[in-house]
Amino acid sequence: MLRRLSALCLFALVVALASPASGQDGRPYSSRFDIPSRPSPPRLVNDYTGTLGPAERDALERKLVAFDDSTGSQIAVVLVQTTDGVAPVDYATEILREWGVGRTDIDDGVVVLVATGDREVFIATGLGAEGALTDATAGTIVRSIIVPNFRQGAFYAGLDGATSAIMDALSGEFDAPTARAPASGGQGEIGSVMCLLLVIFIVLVVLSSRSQPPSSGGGGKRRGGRRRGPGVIVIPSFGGGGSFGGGGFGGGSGFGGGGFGGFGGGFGGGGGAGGSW
Amino acid sequence: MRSTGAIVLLVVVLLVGFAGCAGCGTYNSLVQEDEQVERAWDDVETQYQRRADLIDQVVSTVRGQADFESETLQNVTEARQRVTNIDLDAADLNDPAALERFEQAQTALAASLGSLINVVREDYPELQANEGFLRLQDQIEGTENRIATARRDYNGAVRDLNGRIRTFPTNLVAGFAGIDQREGFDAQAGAEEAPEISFD
Repeated sequence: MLRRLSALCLFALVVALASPASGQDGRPYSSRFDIPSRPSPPRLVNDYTGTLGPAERDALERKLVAFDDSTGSQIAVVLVQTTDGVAPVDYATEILREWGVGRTDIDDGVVVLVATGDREVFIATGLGAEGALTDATAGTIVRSIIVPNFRQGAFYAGLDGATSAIMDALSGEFDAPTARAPASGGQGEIGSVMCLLLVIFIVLVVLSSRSQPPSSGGGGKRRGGRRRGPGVIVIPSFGGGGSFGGGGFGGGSGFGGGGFGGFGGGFGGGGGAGGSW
Repeated sequence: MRSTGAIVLLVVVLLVGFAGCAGCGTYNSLVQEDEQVERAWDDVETQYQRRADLIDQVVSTVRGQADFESETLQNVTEARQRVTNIDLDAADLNDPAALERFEQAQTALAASLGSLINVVREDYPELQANEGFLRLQDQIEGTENRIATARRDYNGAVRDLNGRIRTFPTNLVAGFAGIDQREGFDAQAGAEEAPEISFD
């Protein structure tokens, strides 16, 4: 009996250990490319190359933050030296996903990636921005605004013009945003909770049947009857595999006024267009 | 004696209930991951369908061009037709042969499209310079990117699911529930290796 019990015990333990979901947040991807980590404090303009002057960077940042404040759509500008052989589209999309540019479930983020050493540029669009900023429009912006300016070394002018054009394309589209179907989840938790409730119920039934006063010998005081209940209810922490909402730290710590509040947790599927100069 | 029996019973009930709960949780998360794979597959199919639609546009644009080399056009149309005939349902995603057929048809289509674009670039400069055609190319290129992304996501979902199904004791639950491993794309035959369609 004891052996059987301990075997059962072991089995329960093993199954319980195996049960938490494998750290997925309901989105089918894991980080695949080596990209800069999410800036802290969050910024929309991230120049890792020193191409833009401080004044230019601040002006661009202010413009993008104002757009984020008024429309909710986020445009991040990232300048790196090189993408290390990663295709610009993959690099930019990875930044979009990892940083969470754009709002969760609306996914209206846009990343303008410039690899100065590679002379490559890519405009990556979030899933929800693809309708307003189509690949064709992004391609036109790259060809007609970014490339001509960059060829003359006018990086700020190119980025300023490009972000303005992107804003024009995005504006109006998100007055009535249609959120994607939320990532599934929750059902697993409900199932587990139901199971747990059932077990607790059974335990209570067993306990209460045990604490019935003995039918014989009326009037006898039950000794310690009140102490028969479980002193502590241990709730096993098997994660039911639920997804905990699409990440992103919302936090609006807009210190000093006009600061960028943080990326919203947007997502992208490889949309956008790019070019080289 | 009676109370010892009750305690043993209680422990057994607790343990069985606990294992049952854990099993439920495992089962549910497996089902979710399985659905994740199917969703990722839907994405892949959507993007391939999108490319097929765009190819129709390219074909009709090019056809409007006088004396366009007919053999190249013919190849694209035929490859396009074959793709239409191969419909791979999410339920068949544990069949390597089915995925292979799907893959071959799509690769053939990409190749024929690639040579069509090359012909345009070399022999029809006025079409190549046309802004409308450029935009069409942007869209195709964007679709190729989306296909690559969707495939990677799909493979990631498959890897997660298969990894869990192979691990003890999740494999017991999966076996009991009849959740099979899914088939991922061959990285080598992937879109990354597909004939590059570049418009620069």
